[in-house]
Amino acid sequence: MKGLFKKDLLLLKSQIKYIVMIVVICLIMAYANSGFAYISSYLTFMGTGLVFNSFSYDMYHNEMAYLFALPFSKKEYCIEKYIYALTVTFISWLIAFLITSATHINLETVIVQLAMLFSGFIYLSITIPVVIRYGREKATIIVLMLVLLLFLAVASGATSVGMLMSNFSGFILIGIYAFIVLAALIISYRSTISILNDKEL
Amino acid sequence: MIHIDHLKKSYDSFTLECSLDIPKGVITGIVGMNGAGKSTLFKSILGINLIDEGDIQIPDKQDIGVVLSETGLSEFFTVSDMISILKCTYKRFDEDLLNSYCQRFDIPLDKKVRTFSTGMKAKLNIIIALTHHAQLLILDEPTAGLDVLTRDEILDILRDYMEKENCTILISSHISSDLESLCDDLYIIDHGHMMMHEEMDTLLSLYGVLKVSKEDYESLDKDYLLSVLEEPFGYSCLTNERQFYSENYPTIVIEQNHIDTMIPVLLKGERL
Repeated sequence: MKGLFKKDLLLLKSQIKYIVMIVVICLIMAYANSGFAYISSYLTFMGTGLVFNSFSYDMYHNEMAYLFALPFSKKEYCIEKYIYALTVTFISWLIAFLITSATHINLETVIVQLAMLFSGFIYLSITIPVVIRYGREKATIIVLMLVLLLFLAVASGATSVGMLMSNFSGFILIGIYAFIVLAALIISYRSTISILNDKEL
Repeated sequence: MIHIDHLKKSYDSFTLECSLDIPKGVITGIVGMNGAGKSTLFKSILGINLIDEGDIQIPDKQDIGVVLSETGLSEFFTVSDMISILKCTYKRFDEDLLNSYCQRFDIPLDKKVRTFSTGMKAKLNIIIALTHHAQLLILDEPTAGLDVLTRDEILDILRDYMEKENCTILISSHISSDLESLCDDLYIIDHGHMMMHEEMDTLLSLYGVLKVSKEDYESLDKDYLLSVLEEPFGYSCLTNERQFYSENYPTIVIEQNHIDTMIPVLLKGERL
């Protein structure tokens, strides 16, 4: 598995100019006093973009087939991808957190920032199996449709959900969200393993 | 070294069905047309794709060197990047050996692989497969799309490696002449089935293709013919008793020592 991490880190390194550009944009946004939530969500989701670039590289010229001919099992590949995805997304979020903390830091902003991080993880858990199954281009369309459906579902029940949520403190809400994220990641990982086992490479 | 028992793998309109044994220390070739099932077989052996039925036994992947047709490590890497990945992947990765091969074949370490020529990429793929002292090499079309000189260079690399490491090689190609000079054993695959399995020495010394007119064919003893293909001039007949026909029918034209001439008769002709 160490070889897989090395591969993804080298690919990440090759995108260093892009990464620096994203961070600079965030710094400019912070300087321009953009909302902390906006900066946090921007950088977190840009982080997920970097994760999906690694899938694109693996699928380019069917490299994934070659990786499974090396001493890597499909299970190891999945574990590595999830660890890599969560780590890169977390670091992206952390950078945003540190940038925005300079100007906005209180209990409420921390809770909102954590919610951004968890949203990034939810996005990963939906997108990773879809990318493995359909490739990145089709996955983008499918995930957009899924997110839209999710948004409509939440919006349609927003009042009742809002009333329910108002009974809980921010900490409890973030705890519930963390539990949902954990469940989503477990379901996502199992789905990805299953898709990968059936995938013809 | 490799044991395959009643492997079955189906796609929509294609089914691979075969059994084979690859003994230790033997170079086994698999030859077949494009789409015959070579890559499906190799991917099944390596566990890249699940099989529907059967049993496949291979050594640990740390002991296997692999070249797959039209894929490899990302071409966005430099060879130096690949070295650092392979170091983390294979317990017995030999960086000095890889560097010496790269020096020998003028492969730069610091340029991205996508800038390499097709021949350089092919040589690099072979080198990567050899540099962890693998006991088994599984090479799917390692010479595809290459010119004659580069193909010879690659076959020379394999011969050198075989001499030093005494390993086992399973190699496929649709260019049978590449395999004639390299392999001890040959399988011919077509439409997912093994049509023939023979030792290369036997194939080259006993087999032959008779070119006969329709009149000569009528009077020909057909006991030692394996398959017959109708041609504009008469018939091409594949035999595994070439000497019998050269002694008893001295006027018949017999093409010998080339698998390329045997394959069309075997695959397109009528089996007797």
